[in-house]
Amino acid sequence: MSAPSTGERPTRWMIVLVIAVATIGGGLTRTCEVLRNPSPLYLWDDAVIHLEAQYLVSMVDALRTARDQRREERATGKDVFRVEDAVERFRREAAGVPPTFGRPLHDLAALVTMEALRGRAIAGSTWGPLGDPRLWAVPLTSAIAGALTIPLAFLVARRLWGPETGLRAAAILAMSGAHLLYSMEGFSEALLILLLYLALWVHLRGRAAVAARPDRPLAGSLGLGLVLGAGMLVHFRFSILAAVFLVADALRAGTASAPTEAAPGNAPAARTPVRLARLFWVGVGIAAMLALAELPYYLLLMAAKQRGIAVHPKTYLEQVLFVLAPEGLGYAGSLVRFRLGNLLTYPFALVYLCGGVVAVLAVLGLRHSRSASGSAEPRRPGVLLVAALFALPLAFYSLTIPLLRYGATSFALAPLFAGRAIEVIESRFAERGRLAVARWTGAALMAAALVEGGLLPLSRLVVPNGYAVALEHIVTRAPSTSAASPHLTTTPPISWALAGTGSTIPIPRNESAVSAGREAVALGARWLVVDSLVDFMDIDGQGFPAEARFLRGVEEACRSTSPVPNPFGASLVHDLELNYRPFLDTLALHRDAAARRADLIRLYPLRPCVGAPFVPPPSPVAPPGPRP
Amino acid sequence: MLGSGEREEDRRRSVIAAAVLVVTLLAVPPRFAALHDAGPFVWDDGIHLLEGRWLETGAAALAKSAERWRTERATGEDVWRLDPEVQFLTNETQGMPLYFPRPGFAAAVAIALHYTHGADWSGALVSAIAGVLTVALVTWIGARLWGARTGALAGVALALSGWHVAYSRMAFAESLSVLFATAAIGLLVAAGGGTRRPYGSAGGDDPCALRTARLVAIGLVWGVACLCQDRLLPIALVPVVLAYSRLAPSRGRRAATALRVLLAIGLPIALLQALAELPYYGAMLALAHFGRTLPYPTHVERILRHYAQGAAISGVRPENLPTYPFLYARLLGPGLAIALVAGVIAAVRRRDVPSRALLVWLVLPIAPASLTAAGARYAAVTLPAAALLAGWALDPAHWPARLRERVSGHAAWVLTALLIASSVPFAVAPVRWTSGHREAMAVAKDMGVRCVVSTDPFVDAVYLDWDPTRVRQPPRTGADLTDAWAYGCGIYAVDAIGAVLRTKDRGLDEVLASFEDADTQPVRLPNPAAESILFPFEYNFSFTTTLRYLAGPERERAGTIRLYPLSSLARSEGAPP
Repeated sequence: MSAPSTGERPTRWMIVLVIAVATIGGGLTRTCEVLRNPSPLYLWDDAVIHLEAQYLVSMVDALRTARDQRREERATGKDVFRVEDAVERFRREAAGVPPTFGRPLHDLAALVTMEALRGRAIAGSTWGPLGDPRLWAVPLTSAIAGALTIPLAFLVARRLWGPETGLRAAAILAMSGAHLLYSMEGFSEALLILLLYLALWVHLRGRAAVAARPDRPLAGSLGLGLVLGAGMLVHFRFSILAAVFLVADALRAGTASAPTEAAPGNAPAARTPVRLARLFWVGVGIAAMLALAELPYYLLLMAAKQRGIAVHPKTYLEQVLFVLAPEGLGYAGSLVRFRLGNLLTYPFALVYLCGGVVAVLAVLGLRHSRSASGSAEPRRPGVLLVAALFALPLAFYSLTIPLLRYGATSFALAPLFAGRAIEVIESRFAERGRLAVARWTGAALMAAALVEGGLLPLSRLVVPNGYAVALEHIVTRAPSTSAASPHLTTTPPISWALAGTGSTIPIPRNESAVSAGREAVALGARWLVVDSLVDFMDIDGQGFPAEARFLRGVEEACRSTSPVPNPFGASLVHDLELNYRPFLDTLALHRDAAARRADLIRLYPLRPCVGAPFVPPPSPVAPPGPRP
Repeated sequence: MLGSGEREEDRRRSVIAAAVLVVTLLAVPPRFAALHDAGPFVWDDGIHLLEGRWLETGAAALAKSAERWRTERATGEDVWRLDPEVQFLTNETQGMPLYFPRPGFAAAVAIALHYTHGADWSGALVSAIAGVLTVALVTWIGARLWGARTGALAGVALALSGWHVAYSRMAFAESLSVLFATAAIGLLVAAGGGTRRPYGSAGGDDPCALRTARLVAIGLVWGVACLCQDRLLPIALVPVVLAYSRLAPSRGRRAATALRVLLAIGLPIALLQALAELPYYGAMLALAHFGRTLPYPTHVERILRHYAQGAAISGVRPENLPTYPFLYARLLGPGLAIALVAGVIAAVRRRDVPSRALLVWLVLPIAPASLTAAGARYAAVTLPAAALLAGWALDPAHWPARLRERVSGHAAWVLTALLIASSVPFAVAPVRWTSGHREAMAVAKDMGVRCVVSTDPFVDAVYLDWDPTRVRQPPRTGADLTDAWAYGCGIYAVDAIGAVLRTKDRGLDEVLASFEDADTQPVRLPNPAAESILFPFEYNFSFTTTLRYLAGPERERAGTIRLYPLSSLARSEGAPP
């Protein structure tokens, strides 16, 4: 039973039409915005995903070459393929960096997009890297995921509140500023949101199936586990959302409900084991996905073992244990830095990204999500879970590290509640017999949500960056002997993505900035590239204080030549993505952007300002690797 | 105050417990009598003991090393260094790294070795304990199915089954793995409700009782069985089929139910196998840090190799079909064999859920082996099912009405007792088995040889307490033999296994014939265990060839171990090294 309607229910064709328009329109908006961007990589994470996918592409290429050589060998009988040679060649020629941060599914999605983009033209830049369309693969992956989320939002909202709310939610999501932002960047958030909606849909379907036949716990639960596991393979942060699903199921497992009409014979006492079985199957699904991520490494090691070749990739298990687990412990450590002002981060971000109208409507919809107060509507199963998925991550990250993107999954659920709020408001008017007012109010609220929540924020959210221009500047001024013009930089992954992994030199650790600079020059560094990230490298001694001290020291000693505009560095999105400080301090820092020259990427020629050459130390320097 | 129903239930439980206790006690003497003589008999026996020794000595060495490491941490004294510790571990670890993918059995043998201070009957001890527990379990399952009396008869049938007693006195992995396999099927049977509603009885067939948790538990227990004997991996089809038939899904739910059963039972089995692989994987990762590869095959590699070897030597041989009926008849004795046949016929006629389950359990595991390499031990997992069917048939209450009219009351029980008693000699026979290898190797040691060539090298390595590399495998060519002589091997020990193998292996036959042609006088020692028909059937690649062997002249010599001095070879080939 639904709330009183203001008119006829949408027909099947109307639903298909609206969802098709929202999906195609939303998809085109996202894709066009990505392709319009001349420099599609923004921060560490998206550049790292690009590099990891690039590595996988190298691996696929190596496998293709090996396959071709084996075919040739079979056809001609010539000895043209040797495993040892192929491995050595791959080690020598592989681009990018091996997967390190436990996001294999995101890497895989980016790999598929990269392969699809192979040989296509996107930008007409004269500079080599920008001529490679695969540079757009990671944000394009987000755009595709973002577009696919729109019909899923409809399916979820329809199961919760009916098709009208489903259409509203899908339309609002298609134009939601927060969702647009993360569908145009290369972060993992768009894929996480897609999988969150998919998990919700599978969960709601499974719930209905179990309600109909409680003796079949497998229905939907294994699928839910697989989707939750897939989310964790996109980013381990998804485990918090998976935990919400599991806790919701566990809580339901502890409460026996009355027998349903569909299965009158099943006594309540028989339900709890079935629900525990459901939990078990969800766990199996999650474990299966994690095992699946480890499987390629296992097979690789086994294949290498058969050949007696020693290889040591950092396996998924190792990435989780040695990279992600310490990061997770960092959340616990960050509790001591909690400030009350941090609680304002996400309310502020919701309004900033989605607009005031959607924010207010979402809160209203959350209030009336289970049933309109005072109405005779039945309580909706599953709504509490969606509310928990909306609120709990925001609460968790507000208490720990309230970075902007950590709230992305919650922001993406706001359109569901906004759609619900519009339905409730309409139904209130309809209950009083004012159908026309109801209809016009609903339409006005929808229009306001779409325009103020999406179109207007879009202009302030899509901010160009200057990395491609800066890198082009120093690479094209490199001496002819140097292919990559080695440099020191605040954001090495972007340099690696644009100019190759050999293009940067790790910042030497030395008490004196000038001495460290000399050491870097001796190692071949020619330039220092500093962007607004430098203001976030040392936060009360946390992060990279030694590197920050060095950069500031060199900046004092040197003079920047032709700084490159970088509006992204001065944007609020940039600062909130690095909101490691108390929220109010971050806002203050943002207001100070002009004085900090945050809107510029400063380029310093190193050799003229750090003086005499440095005698290099005898020990070899480790090749650059990704920095957590 | 207890109600009459509860009192009845309590009484029934007490009767079942008493039946289990009595039958279990009956199972003890044939399994434990003179167990110290039940050292390793044939090939796998020896391997399992060597594997167990490797684990036991390795664990002890690791414990000592860890103790020194703790001392260093506590006192700061420099007593632990990597290289000497690696050397220490290498020196202290004896036996043989895991050869078969059966870490569960090797671990059980290692524990037994620890408590028996390295006795060579430790493997037999594990099997004996498992055998007795299997008898208890079968009694309980029978009682659940048909009541305490029939359960007790089923237990007695297994307790006095010569075939089961044989595996309960050997270091084969069969007894322990059959215990776990029976426990898994017991879990399936116990899903009918309380003892008031036994499995398959009216009101006891509640499909909802077979919940996912129970299916998972069945999978876990079967998984443990697979860790003890990898051959049970494909036979996991048995609990899957039984659980599926137990759930009896409607037409539209068959695929979903099959998937659920397959996943619930299959995943825990896979998980346990993955756990067995994990230490190897961890070692591979750790070694990769140092640019090294693991020198041993991993658990999964061993499974794949084992199956590949099996496939390579098997081939399709329909002539092997009579093998298991023949063995049931010869190893159980006439009484139990008749009861088994009667039980099978009755089960086919009854067509109820337990009957179908027992028939599947009896036939499915041996069906593939009957058409390929029908080794006797492959049927061990069916012995509990056979005992249950025989036990049902032994109970006069289940006899056909016409028979009951003719043989009633005490006469029926006398007949049952006679049938059972006729199997006692078959149950006692394995108690008299002793391996001649113990004495043979004592002789070899007295001869002062530093290396032995043997048709059963791993068994001899156990009795010699030597590194297995000092006991060489039987030579297939004269060059192999010369090579062994050059290595310092002083004697060639040939036992019944060699006699069996020579009928199938031309190279081995030619080398042995060369000794006989040279009129070399071997030292002959008795090997009583080899006179059993069980051992030739452990190498039963062809039923007709094995029968021919049993009827032929080679059988005459099976009861001795011949020690050929290789010095005779030296005389013909040249001076010793």
